[in-house]
Amino acid sequence: MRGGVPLSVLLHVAIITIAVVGLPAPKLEPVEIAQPIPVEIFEIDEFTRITRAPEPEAEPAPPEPEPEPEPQEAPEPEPEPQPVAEPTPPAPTPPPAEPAPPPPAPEPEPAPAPEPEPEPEPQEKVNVAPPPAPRLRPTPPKRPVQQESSFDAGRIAALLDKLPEERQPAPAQPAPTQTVPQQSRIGAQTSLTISELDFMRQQISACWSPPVGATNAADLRVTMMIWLNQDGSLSRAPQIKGGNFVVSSFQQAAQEAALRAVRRCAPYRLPVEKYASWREIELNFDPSQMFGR
Amino acid sequence: MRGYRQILAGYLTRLASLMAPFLMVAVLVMPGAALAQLRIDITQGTIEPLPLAVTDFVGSDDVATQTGDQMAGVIRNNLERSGLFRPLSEAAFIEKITDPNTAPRFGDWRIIDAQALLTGSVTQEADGRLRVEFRLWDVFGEEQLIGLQYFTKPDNWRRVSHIISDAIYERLTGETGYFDTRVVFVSETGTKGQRVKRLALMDQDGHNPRFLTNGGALVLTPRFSPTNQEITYLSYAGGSPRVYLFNIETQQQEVVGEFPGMTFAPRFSPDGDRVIMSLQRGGNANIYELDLRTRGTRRLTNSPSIDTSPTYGPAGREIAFESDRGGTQQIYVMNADGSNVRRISFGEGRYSTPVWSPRGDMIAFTKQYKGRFLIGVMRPDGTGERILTEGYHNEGPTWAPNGRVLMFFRETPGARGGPSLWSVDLTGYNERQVVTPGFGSDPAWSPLIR
Repeated sequence: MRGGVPLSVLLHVAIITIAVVGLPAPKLEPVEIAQPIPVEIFEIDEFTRITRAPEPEAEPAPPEPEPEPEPQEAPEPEPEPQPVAEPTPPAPTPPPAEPAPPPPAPEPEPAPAPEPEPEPEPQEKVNVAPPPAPRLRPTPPKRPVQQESSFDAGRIAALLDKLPEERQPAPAQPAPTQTVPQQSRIGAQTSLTISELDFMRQQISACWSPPVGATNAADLRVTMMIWLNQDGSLSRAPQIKGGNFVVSSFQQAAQEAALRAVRRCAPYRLPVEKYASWREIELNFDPSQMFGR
Repeated sequence: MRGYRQILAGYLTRLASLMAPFLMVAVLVMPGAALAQLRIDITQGTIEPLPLAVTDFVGSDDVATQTGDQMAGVIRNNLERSGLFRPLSEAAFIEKITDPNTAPRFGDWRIIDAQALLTGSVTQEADGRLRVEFRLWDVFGEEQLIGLQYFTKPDNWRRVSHIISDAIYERLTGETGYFDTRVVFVSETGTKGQRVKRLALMDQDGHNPRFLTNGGALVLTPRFSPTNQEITYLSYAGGSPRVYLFNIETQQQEVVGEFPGMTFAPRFSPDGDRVIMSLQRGGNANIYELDLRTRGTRRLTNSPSIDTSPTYGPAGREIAFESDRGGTQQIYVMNADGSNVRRISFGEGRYSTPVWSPRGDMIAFTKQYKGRFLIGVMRPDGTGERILTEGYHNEGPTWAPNGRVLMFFRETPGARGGPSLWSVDLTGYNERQVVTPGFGSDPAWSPLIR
C-alpha cells in the first residue's frame, strides 16, 4: 500500500507529461508527413542537395513523441521537476540538425584553397542559385530553358568532383539529405539525366510520324541502334534490330518511318561531356499509345 | 639494361598468357555492357502528314507533257486528301527533273524537307498507247523505294494516276491503297419536301459522276458487291420496297428473291455469292440469307423484334446486326448460321447500322446519344469503342477497301439543309467532305478495281 501513493503520483506525472509534451507533437506530425514528398521530387530531377538542406529542420520534430514513453519508467527519481526538464530536450534536438549541414560545407573550402571556384558554393545552400548562370556558358549547345536546369546538375557535380576525395567523408553527417545527392552526382557524370533523356526523346518524337492505323499496332514496334558523333550527327547508318528478316509491308513502312525520323532529326543536341554514354543508343519506337484521339 | 628488359619482357609475356583467359572474358562481356548502356523508348510521335514532292511527269511530246502534268495533279490530290501526305508546293522545288531515269540530287530535296520524291515520265508509244513510268525515292535514305511502268490507252490516264497513288500509299504506309475505287451513293436533287433520289456512281475523288437510275422510284442503301460488277439496294420500283440487284456493266436490274413481305437493308457476303437482308412481316423483321446462284433462302434469326442491318465478318463466318430485342437498338453478333447470338454494344445510347471492316478488326456503327448522331468504331467483341465524329445527323458509315477510311453522310438542319458525303480516317483524324454534284447520301465504297 505504501508503494501505491508514489505509483499513483508517478502515473499522474506520466499522464500530465504526456498531456504537456505529447499534445503539441501531433500538431507537428502532419507537417512532417507533407515535407518528405517535395524532397524526393526535386532531387531526382534537376536540383542538387542544396535545395533540400533547409527542409530537414522539420524532420527532427518527429523524434519528440518517441521520448515520451520513456518518462513512464524513469519517473522514480524525481516526481515533478522532470516534466519541466523533459520538454526542453525536444527543443534542442531540431537545432543540432540545422548546424550539422553547415559544417560539411566549410570543410571543403580549406582543402581546395588554391581553387577560387569552390568558395561560392559552400557558403550556403541558397547561394547555389547564382552559379548556374556561369555554368551555362561552357555548354556549347544553345537550348531551351528547360534544358539548362538539367545541365546544371551535371555541372555542379563536375565542379565538386574537382575537389579532393576528403570531401565525401566530410558530408557524412547530414546523412538523409546527403546520400541521395551522392548517387545523383555519380549518375550525372556518366549518364544522361532524366531531363536530358527527355529532351533527346522530344527531338526524335518531333520528327517521327509513324503509320498509326495498322491492324496490329504491335507489328509497328521498331527497335534500332544508332551511333552518334560528338557533334550529334549519325556516325554510321542506323541499324534496325531484326531488320534483316522478311517482314510485312506494315512493318517495313514502320521501320522506314523510324529511319526517316532518325535521319531527319540529326544532328542531336546532347551534353558533349557525357558523350561516352550516348555514343551508342538503342531506340525503341512504339506507336501503340498514339491511337485514336 | 638489355638483360633487365628481357627479363621484364619475359615476365610480361608470362603474365599475359596467364591473364589471357580473363582478358577474353572481359572482351566478351564488355560489349554487352556497352550495348545495355542507353535505351530510349519513344512512344509519342507526331501525327503529321508526310511531306513529299510530286514532280510533274516528264512527257515525250507536248501532249504527253500535258498529260504528265495532269497525272501529277491527280496523284497530289489523292495523297493530300488521304491526310497522310503533304505534297509540297512546286514553287519550292529547287531541282527541275528532266530525266526521271537518273537519281535526283537528294540534297536539293532535303533542303525543302521532302521526305519522299516522286518522279515519272509519260511517253507516247508508236502503237498509240501511253507508257507511264514512275519512281519513288527516299530522300533521306537516298534510295529508290519503288519504280513501276504501265501501258495504257491515253484516255485512261486518270485511272493510271489512281493506281500510281495506290502504289505510293502502299509503299509508304504498308497498307493497300484505296484510290483506284469508286463510290456509289444516292444523289438527291430538288427541294427538301420533294427529293428525287437516284443512284449515282463516281470515282472516289468525286470525278466521273454518272447516274445509274432515272429517279422514277425511290432508292436507298446501295451496297457494292465485292466482285465490283454489281450493286444491291432498296428500291420502291415495284410499289413496295424490295431489294434489287443492279449490274453496272449491263445496266440490268432485278429483284432479289421472292419474299412475301418487304425486304430491306441488303448487303453482300465477302465472296459476293450471297446477299443478306431483312424481311419484314407484321411488326417484326428477321434476317434472311439468299444464295445468288441457287436462289435458296435461309432464315437466320427468329425473334419478335426488329433485326436489321446485317453485315458479314470478313471471313463470312459471323454476322453483326442491329436489334431491339433487348429494349433498345443495340448491336449483336452471331455465327453465320444464326447460332450463338451475343450483344456487343453496351455503351450509353442506341447503336445501329453496324458495318464490319473489310480487314475484320473493327465494326463501324451509328450511335444516337443525347439527341446527337455519332459515327464510331468498336472491336468485334465490343471493346475499344471510339467515336470518330459527331453532329446533328451522321449516318451510314461505309469502309474503304483497306479498312482504313470511313465514308458517311451528314445531314444539315434547316430548309436549305441537305445530306453531304464525308470521309474520316479510322484514327479520327482528317475529316473532310467528299464533293458530289448536288446532295448525296448513303455512300457505299467499292473494292479496289481489278
